[in-house]
Amino acid sequence: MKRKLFICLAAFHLLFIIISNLYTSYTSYCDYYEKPVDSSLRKCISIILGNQPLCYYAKYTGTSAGYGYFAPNVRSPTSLSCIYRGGNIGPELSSNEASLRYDNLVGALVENINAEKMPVLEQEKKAFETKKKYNELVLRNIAMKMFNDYQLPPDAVSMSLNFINHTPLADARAGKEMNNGLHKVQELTLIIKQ
Amino acid sequence: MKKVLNNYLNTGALAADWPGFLRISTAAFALIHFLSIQADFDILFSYNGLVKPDILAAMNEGLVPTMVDIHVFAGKIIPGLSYEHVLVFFRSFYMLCLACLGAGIFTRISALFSLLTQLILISSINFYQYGADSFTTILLFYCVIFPAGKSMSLDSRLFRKTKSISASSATLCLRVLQIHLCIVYFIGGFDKIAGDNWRNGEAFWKAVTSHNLFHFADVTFLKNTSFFLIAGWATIIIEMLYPVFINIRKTRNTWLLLTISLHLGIMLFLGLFFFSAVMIIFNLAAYYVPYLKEKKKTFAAPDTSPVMQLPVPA
Repeated sequence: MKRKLFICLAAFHLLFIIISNLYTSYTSYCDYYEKPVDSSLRKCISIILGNQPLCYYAKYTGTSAGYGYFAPNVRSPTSLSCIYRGGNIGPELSSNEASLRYDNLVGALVENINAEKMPVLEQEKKAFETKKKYNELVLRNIAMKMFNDYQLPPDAVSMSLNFINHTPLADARAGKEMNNGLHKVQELTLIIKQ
Repeated sequence: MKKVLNNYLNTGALAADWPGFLRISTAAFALIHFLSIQADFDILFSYNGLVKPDILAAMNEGLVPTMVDIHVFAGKIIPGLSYEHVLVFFRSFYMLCLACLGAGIFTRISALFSLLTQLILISSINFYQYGADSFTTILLFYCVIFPAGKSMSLDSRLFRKTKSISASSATLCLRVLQIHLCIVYFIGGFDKIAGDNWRNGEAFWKAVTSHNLFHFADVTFLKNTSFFLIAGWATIIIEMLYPVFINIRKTRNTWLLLTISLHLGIMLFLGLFFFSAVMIIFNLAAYYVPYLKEKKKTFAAPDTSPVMQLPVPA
């Protein structure tokens, strides 16, 4: 009896992983090729994946994570540049792991308001503005932290969230130099006072 | 069909102590991973950090409480409780739980508290989290539901009444772990083949020449060769065919070696040390340690016991 129950729960667990991941794969595929997600499928899946107890289940078992790492395409590198009196400043992190997490924070902020996906509907515009304001709040926090840590004299600091341009393989083969230019997604100038 | 399924679910776990390996390696990994950010702990978690915790908590989806939520809640019960107190508690409690989990003291409880604490810590810094955290959650969850304390643990030594793990129960748990891992790789490969950039080598080029924190070697000099095309396809093949070749006895070790090489590549060229390490642990726990006894047996006298036989690949 106990064994049969375990098998049933295991089957549910694995089935849930398969459904949620196949749907994530499908949506990221649509996103990548800029195709609309099938509305009936979206409705059907949202009944399963949007179900509150299942959301808790997914979170506490780790099954909410998608496994399509670096796919369908490798995410473009992102950066946060803070220009203070003509020079670039950045937070002081002592470990590789913390730097990696900081990069994830920057990536998440950039993704939060990816400029290529400009909102159309009124509701989307509101959500976009909220996200933009949230990003500004985070950037303000980071700037203040750096000013305090480095004990910088009060002045203006220009901050921008960027995608870093990446030279395609074909261009590199054609002899073009590696392009590290920035594609700004959000800009902000802060006046830091004493 | 029923016979094949029954055979698959009941036989195959030759080394019944693999849950012990899963428990110890998961606890050790999570502890080292957590220790690696201790020098920057305040920058990531405290109000003196880069982003204030309440601002980070504002974007939390609400499924797991953050340390800010816990501080607000506990502050009503314990007057004068500061956020720093909560931070010190979780910081030390997580390490204590992981140490207990690794040693196998009150294993299930320590695994459960490790999982909950890890989720709270990660939800508190949701924008800083990445793939290694998700896989740590998965492995900790399996440490909770599997009989991870039945072998190589202080529980099994101190409380002799504890039943040792049965081969069939260990096999059933192992199948869940293995199928989960097969889904992970298949989906990973499936998503890659869906994008044209992995099929023409562009994605692999982008991955290894991008702005990664660590580069073992610069491979841009290979741009005029077929290296990136072959490497892209090799990644897809290793991932998509993982569920097939890892489950065939003759090809298991080769595929395991290829998969571990893939993760070593990610470690050396993308600088994702902990992500690669957790995936290697997942692979070893699912497809190497359970078959160790089988490897030993090939050098010893053959055993014809039905429990010890491997299933015929479906």
